[in-house]
Amino acid sequence: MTRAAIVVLALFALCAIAAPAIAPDSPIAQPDPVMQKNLPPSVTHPFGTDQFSRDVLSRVIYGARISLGVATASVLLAVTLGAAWGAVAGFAGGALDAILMRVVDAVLSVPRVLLLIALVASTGPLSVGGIVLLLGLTGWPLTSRLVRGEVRALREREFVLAARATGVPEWRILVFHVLPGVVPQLLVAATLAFATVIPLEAGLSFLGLGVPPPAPSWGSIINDGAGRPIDTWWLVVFPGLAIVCVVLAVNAIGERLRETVDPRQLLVR
Amino acid sequence: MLVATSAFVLVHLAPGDPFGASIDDPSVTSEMRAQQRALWGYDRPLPEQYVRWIGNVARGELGYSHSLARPVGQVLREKVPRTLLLMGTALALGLVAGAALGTWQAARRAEFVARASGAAALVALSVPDFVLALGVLALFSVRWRWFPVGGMVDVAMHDSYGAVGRVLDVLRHLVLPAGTLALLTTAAVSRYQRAAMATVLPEEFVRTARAKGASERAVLVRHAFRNALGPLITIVGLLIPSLFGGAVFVEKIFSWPGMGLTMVNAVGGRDYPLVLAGVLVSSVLVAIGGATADVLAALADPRVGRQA
Repeated sequence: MTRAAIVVLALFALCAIAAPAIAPDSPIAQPDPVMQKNLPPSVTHPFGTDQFSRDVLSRVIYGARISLGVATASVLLAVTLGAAWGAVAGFAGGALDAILMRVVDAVLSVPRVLLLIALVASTGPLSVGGIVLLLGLTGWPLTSRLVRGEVRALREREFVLAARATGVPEWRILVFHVLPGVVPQLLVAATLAFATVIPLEAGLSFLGLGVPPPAPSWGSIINDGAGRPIDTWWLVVFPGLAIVCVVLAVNAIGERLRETVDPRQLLVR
Repeated sequence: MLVATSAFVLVHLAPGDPFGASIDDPSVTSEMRAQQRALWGYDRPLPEQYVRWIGNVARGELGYSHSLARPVGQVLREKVPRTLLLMGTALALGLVAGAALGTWQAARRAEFVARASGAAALVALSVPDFVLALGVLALFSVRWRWFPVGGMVDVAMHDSYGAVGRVLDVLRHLVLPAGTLALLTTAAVSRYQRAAMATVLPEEFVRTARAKGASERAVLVRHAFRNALGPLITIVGLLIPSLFGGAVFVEKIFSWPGMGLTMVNAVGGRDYPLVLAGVLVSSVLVAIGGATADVLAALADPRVGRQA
């Protein structure tokens, strides 16, 4: 199960990296918008074409680039922020901890989709970098909670007390003695974040609030077919399958990691 | 308060205001725009706008929606109950189905069907809400025409129905959007429920119940389920924010005229007061939902209150 998941993810990553070599066509070329639009899947166009005659297979392959790229970058940002926030809160304790965790509570009480919609409303159409920033800046609170809990537990352990007794400065204790112990939790947090952010990016692009056209994101390809989901089913089914495969693979790996890292932990999302 | 402040700051960070959109309309002169901005206070410095806004919110005054030309409070009073009807139905259905499914999976953990249904729940959880909603829409209303494609009522016929007919009309429109959300809720709840039951079933008291000769059904429902109820209720509280997110997509796809659809539509018009109020109201509802879940969890499991 886990092995299959890793293979699936590797294949998608390969598509993303080597998109120009694999894709049969350009994702944005419109060879013949009159005669070749909305063609069903065939030998020349295995995934069909869209309303601008663009080859959907090529768009899905290049879409892996955008969707996985945005997800990876924003998860890195979110996990880094969350780790820093949670580590400081958990290690400092006291009033600072209380304040920092209050902020986390506040951010978590806003439904993320609505928060993102409000943010896009204020910024207007975004570049890919802007999307990464928004997704990263709204994705850290859960990670920070996980990290804080772990840091609080580690803080009281003997090796930390021993380091303190030998005169190691506090910041070095946090960075070199406590943080390495948090890495397994961070991996779990990262898989969770990844499995959330892929559908989220696709959803934003689906609403027309994400990656700007004509760049292909899996969500925006689905949006192109959403008006007539039966007549142009290939615009919904293929990118939809891509999303499901990736998220399922990440979930399966995350599940396995969680069992290994902390078998007691309930499946809290 | 914190949420309100950060929402305000974030939304106003960007350039542009509700009157920028009319720039395409040649009949609207720049003097008219300036006049409107002055009238609504968009020409003031941000701190002043903020103080005015937060003061108004504290008095329950949410501002004026420029794109809909109505007070925000009035708009939300109309839209929020519709979203709550959608979410409430989905939550109730998903909770019952998910709890039953999870309990069954935990009880029959060795059997193939139960394990397969567990895997199916994981797959269902990996399908984004909008893809599932599109699929449901395509099959059940476009292909087979069993249900209407969208909206909340039959626009042409609704007013001619009697009271019962109107309720049935809304229910008919509710089936698909609420069913989609309920399916996702069921998948999530069943996984938590299975995990919760799995921790309860090996306990001593379950063995005692079996030993004293209680039927397997009674053991599951009266002894084990009762003890797994606390975690289940807590999980429901945690599911509410994501349910709001799901509702946005479901409302958009099924044209359900609730808060989510209204907010998505307000984005294009840069209708800050409406978007801000939507975020605010949903956060308050999430907080209320979470608090309710905590209270109910304590009622369901007296140990919760004592630990705290």
